Amino acid sequence: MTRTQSTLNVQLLANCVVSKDGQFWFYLDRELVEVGLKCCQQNQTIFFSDSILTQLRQAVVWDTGGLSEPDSSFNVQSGLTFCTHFEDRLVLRTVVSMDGDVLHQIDRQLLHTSDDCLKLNQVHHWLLTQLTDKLCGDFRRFINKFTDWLAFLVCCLSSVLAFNYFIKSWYVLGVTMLLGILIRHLSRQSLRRSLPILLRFGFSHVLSPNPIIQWLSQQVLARLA
Amino acid sequence: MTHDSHTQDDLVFSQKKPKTLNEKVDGFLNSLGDVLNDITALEVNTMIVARISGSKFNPLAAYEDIYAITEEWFEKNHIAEDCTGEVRSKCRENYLKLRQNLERHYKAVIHDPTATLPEPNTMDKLDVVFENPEFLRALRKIREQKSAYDSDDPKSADIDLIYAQTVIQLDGDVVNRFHEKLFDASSDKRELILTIHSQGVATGEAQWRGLLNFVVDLLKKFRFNLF
Repeated sequence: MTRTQSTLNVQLLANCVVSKDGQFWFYLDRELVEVGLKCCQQNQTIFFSDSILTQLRQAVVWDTGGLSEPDSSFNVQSGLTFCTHFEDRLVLRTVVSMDGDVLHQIDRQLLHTSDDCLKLNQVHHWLLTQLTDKLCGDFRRFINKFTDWLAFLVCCLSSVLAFNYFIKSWYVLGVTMLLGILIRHLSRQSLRRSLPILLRFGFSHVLSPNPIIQWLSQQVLARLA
Repeated sequence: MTHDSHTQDDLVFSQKKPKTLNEKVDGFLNSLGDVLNDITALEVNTMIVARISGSKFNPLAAYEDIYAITEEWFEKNHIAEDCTGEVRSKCRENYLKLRQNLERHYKAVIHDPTATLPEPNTMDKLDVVFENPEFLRALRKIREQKSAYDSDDPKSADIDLIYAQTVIQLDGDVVNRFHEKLFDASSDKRELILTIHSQGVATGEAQWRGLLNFVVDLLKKFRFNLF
């Protein structure tokens, strides 16, 4: 299988994962089951969209039935639910609870076709494991990247300003580079220190009816959770 | 419940206001600490069901469902009506245990050993327990069990079954339990269920570990600011 083909397959599988009412659904057909089996055997990794991962992180904390209810009516999560939909019906369901209970439900009719049943079960669990593996985001990488760019930007801007308006000397570059290093260090420290406040904002406003606040908190959960 | 205890209950609940989302986040984080302390085992259950419901878990609907289990409910819904005396009483006993189990959790949550389950329309009392993650987890599990007991034909004692259960203790012990009906099934079907279950156990551990890593990470970020 070519590299492009396998990337396409992984993309196909990522697209079959849908979050609906706080539950995660895998919409599979025969073709996708075969693709899933291949990817599983080749130990491939699925890259899910930020949106799915944010919704997954949100679902670890909040049990939502939709965003139309008033904020305070949401309950905290009691168990993450993952369902597999195949040939117009729900055939597999897994509930993973924080306290260590995992419940797998299998449609009795699926047992009549043992080959389908085993393949579906394998792909269902593989997709589920791929999702739970991605729960922990790489927030350190984001913080480092963000502060590097911030420092670079400050460095460039201050150099240009100083060169044009104050001192026309190359020493300015040395000073602004020092300033950039200082800003990078300080912003990195302050971002890490304010992580609890940012995450609290993220988790408590991700269901806000205000679209801007909701977007901001989704970004926090996508990048820092 | 006596009139006095009702009054006491009402006093306790009337002083509590619904929590804000920030308070709920705090409550969730506190409960995570308790969950991490209480985790003793990973339990993987494989259930074969006649129909999987895709509906969301609704705490109030689940509570109403369990609260309704009484002797009158058995008669009204013809539970195990076509069965012999022993089978019928066993079937009804299973249902009653669910309600008792819920009541036990309720008492633990409100720290009152004499309390009884409040009526589903007393939302001031229920809001308080629905904000408790431990109670919600217990309610969900009891609801799942009840769904398993509810068969397509309530008059019969046929139920959806947990065919296989694996408990992996933290100290390394692994306990497997299989329903006797599994051994009545044809060898092909038995093999199939056992394969499905072992796939579920192998991946269930990884899935739960993923979830646990995330909450531990979250707890570290929130509580200890270790990064």
